[in-house]
Amino acid sequence: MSWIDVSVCAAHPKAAVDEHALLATMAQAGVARAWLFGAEVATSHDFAAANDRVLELSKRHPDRFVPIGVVNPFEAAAETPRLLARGIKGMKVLTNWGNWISLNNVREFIVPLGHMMREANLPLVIALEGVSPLTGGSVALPLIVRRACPELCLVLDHCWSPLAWEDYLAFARDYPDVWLTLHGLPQMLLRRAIAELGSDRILLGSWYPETDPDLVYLQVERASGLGARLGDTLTANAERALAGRRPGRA
Amino acid sequence: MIIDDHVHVHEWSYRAGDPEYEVDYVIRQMDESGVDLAIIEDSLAYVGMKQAGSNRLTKEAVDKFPDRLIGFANIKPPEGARACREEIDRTVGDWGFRGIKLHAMADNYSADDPEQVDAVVEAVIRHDVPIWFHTGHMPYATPMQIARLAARFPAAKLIVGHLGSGMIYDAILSAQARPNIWLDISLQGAGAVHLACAEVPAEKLIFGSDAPYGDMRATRRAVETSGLEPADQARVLGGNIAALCGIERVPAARAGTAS
Repeated sequence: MSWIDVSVCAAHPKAAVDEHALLATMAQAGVARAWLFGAEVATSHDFAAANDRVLELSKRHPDRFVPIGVVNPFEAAAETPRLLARGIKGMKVLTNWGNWISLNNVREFIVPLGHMMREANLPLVIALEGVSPLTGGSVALPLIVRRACPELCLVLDHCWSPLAWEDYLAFARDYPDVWLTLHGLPQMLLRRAIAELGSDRILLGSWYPETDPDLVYLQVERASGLGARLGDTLTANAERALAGRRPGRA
Repeated sequence: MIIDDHVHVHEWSYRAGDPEYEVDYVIRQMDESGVDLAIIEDSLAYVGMKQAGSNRLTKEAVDKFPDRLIGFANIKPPEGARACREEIDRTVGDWGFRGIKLHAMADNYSADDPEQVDAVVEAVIRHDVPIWFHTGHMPYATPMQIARLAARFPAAKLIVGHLGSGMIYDAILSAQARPNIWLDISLQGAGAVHLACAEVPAEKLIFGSDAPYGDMRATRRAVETSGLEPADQARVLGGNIAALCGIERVPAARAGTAS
């Protein structure tokens, strides 16, 4: 089996990530490539350092890592073009830090980021962590972005809260050209998500070191019923998303 | 006319013997807050009581203060579609209650689950009264779940309670998207209320306190400091819920004092 893990932490606020251990874990789990980002900014708030680390690792292992940038939304307009020029292949919006989310901030800072990513033909990933008042990872943030940027390649990520999946699935039904990232979730929910979304809508992200990629893959393989074809499906979907393409579109 | 769209008797945060547990406390709060009318539900339905018993307690409260209180029925879909239809006919049709409340979290179902709610919504549409949803708790009743229900039943009049609780942005987006959704502002602070007033037409906002758990004066003050024009404030503070529920009268006892 060989697949692309679309959420792997180059560093994490609560667990150490060692470069060689990460590569070994990927090899053991059949992860051919990993979308790499700096999750440590949740506590460090040092976005520049996180992106430097991700770019450095990706430069050392260009066949294994895809650099995904993270940005303070208030600095996104200036910082994002610089990151793209340095080789960042996608941007991820993290919602588990600070207290920045408001309707106006989303409109003023995240929507323009969406337009930038659309123009660059690259994905914008929104990690639905769940931050008050968006308790549990509500769909308000991606809903505003999606309505404002209908052509954007939008990826919902870190949808880790099973409670929120009623809204995620409804959002996915309303917007069939949005990618949904699966994670370690109750098996019943994974089966339902794959059945309702279809395998051509899904990506798989372990958020290593939060979960083990081999175990998450096994969960999804069993839930999907795709058997050995799952790896090819995940790889094709991830490559498509990385090219800024949406599911179901040429 | 100031109307509080959401107050309780036997609020479960209190116990028998606490003054707040009794309906007289609600009336005192209304007097002190300049509230003319209040929509009331018994709260024991949320801690295990069957819908019929709970609604009987609501009726007793309304009967005690008929010029000040209007009943909403607690309806519990897990008791079955037929039982719910009969309870709606009894409470709304026979007793004159002006709406129902669904508390999907307390009764452990999804607010947009067709098997649970469709028969209830259809029955309520026949009576032309609103449905008040306790919202803000995944996976039972998020504002987006109510929005999906609103799309399925465009004739239904749906109130997203507590401004979505913590999910205020979802509540605002749902009201913007669906013409048959209104937002109750109970249990929210002035900041959230002011945001809703800025984002949502005043015709879609409804004053409520969730007394005795919430505070009537604080919530009313949030509306009065929102920057809305006086005519819009009047809509939020009573006009909208009056129109939704078909409340035309100014209670005789308060006719000379209503704001």
